[in-house]
Amino acid sequence: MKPQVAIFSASSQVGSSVALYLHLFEKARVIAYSRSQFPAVFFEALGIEHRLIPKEVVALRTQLENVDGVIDFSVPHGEFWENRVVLRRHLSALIGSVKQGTPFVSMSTQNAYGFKDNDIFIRSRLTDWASPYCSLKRYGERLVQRFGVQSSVPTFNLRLGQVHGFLQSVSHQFSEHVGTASSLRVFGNATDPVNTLFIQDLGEALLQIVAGQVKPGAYSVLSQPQWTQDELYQYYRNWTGNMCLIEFSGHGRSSTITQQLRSAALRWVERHRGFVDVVMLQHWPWLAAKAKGIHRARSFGMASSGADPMPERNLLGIPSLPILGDPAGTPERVLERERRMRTAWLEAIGSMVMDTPFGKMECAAKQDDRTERTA
Amino acid sequence: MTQVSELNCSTRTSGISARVRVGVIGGGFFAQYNHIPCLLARPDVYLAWILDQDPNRLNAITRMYGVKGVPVSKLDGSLSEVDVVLLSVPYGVRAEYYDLCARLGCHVYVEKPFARSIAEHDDIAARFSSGAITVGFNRRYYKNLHIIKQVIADRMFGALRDVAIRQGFFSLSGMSGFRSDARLSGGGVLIESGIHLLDSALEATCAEEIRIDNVGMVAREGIDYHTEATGRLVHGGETASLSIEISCLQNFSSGIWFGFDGAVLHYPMSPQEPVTLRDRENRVRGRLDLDVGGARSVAESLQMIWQGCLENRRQGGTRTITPDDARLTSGALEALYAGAAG
Repeated sequence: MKPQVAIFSASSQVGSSVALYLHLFEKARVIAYSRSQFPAVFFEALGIEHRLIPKEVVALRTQLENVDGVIDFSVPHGEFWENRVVLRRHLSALIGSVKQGTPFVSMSTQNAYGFKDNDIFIRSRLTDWASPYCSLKRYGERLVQRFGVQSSVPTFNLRLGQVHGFLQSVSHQFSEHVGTASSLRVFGNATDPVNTLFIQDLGEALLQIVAGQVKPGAYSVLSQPQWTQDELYQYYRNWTGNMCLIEFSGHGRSSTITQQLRSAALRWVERHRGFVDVVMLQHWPWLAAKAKGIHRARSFGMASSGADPMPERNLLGIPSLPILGDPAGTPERVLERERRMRTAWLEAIGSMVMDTPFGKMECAAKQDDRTERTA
Repeated sequence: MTQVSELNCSTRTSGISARVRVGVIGGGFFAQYNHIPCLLARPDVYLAWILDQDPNRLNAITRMYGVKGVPVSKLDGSLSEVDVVLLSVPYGVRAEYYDLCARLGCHVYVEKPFARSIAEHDDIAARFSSGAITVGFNRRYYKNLHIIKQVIADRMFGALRDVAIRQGFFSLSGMSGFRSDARLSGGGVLIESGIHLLDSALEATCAEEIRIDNVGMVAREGIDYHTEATGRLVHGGETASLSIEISCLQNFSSGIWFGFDGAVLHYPMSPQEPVTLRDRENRVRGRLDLDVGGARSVAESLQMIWQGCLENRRQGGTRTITPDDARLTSGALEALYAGAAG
């Protein structure tokens, strides 16, 4: 028998995609909760039950009486100084409404490890000063754990890597870059493990939790085994059908002192461009000519190929927490499932468009078709 | 600390008479993060007050920027203190503000959308003298749009054959708050954000007429989620075919594709991105840059549009985007919504 799961903030990009995955592949009966009616059109088109989050705790408790798992995608979007209060209130009410023994899963993020934006490899830091988002998410993880103990609800904090899927904005960006370029430069090596997952990895991880196969605690969710950069870009070449050239540029860790000195010199040159130009052009024409040649060749290469001047960058490395995901999630299988999900969703949109009265009339507006102005 | 406060205060109030006094009605996201900093950065503007019906938000904004906050109940008195009003409240609640501003002779900078139909457009415009309203289509000042405009005007790649307007960003949670109430927002993703691309296409082509032949729309309770349409654009006596796809239910390549006899040019959504030459498979084959003026950032475009608006107030004239300039955009919206309604 299929488990019944309640998804809160199901209007989020990841939440709605997980609902679609679980429903389409008949993995679970999904009840999608949101605060407004706006996302209802998505769920109804797919035949997924949609409900507004009840304002009364008693009503919420009643509705969650028979579910096998509660999954929460909520993130407060207020001012920094308000978010903790909002999050605390939300988690307290929600976990307090879950029946004892029913698993509660909260979506955290890999940012909670404490790495900073310019980190190349995933890093765990003891402090949560890396970003307000990291701090908020760690706070949320602590609250989930505490409220779970108080309510005898087994809780799970899932630190999600970068989530890919046809409805995710990151996949949209990848598709744009890979799909329109002739060549792309990517930071790092082809064999570097990337911190990415696809919707089905998360969906399968949630099913394992709901089935009681995972102990309560904190986990990473990533593709399993972790994909390499090469696999990730190969996937998007296949997805977009554009077999653009992917060039891996290596990464900073292996840079030698000579390379570091060269980078520092280039940064200095950027800052003092005018001075450098004048001195070089007037006194060292051979160097000026060479530098100009390198610059022109590089600019032309980028302009003609459409390649981004800065290499693409992904977060690399292996996180410290145990990893959940879809053990059967090979790139071929992911591609096939993503295509099926996209087809199902496009068909749903198509049926809705047809249901709307279709304009047969000609409507026109002219710039000079002006009525008399009175002012 | 006291000295700094006093200094700021005296700097603000000295020479007010030489500056244009501006009041802000509506402290939503765009006003908070773009208009207000833009106005505060201008030496020729005195930002007199900000009004917002949400007291918490008003309190936060006044603390953030050190500008006087005004409750809704004191609007009448406050309007007489300013020369220009930025109207950045939702489309559905602007009517009374237009009346008040017109009666008191205030110039108005109004955020898009301006109107959903030609009749409504003309009705609002008729209340004000020429040049007294600026319509906030700031993207008309983007440099990359100027490049496209130049290419079309000079027939650099031959005649313009087709125009494809596409905007697809999947989002079920972006349309919260007033945006989920059609009485306030006027519609959904088409009127909320798609209107910018629609307006940019009309501006780039200097269109005289837009004809919508077919429309398919996913809409519920007045909120549109997805629009597909085909039609024609008439510009300079020529006709180009037109296709429109605006959606918050799908992700797809966004921007405007201008198909000429000899090339396809892509106009991007962002002012920082370049105009690109594309092949028929949408692969980038090169970038196009021309020596034309224009903004390379949202902030720059706002400075430019505000410059025109403030000059209109000081010297009269129509140096900015007037209702006359934006009329066809309202007409296009009317045609699309009317077509969808059958």
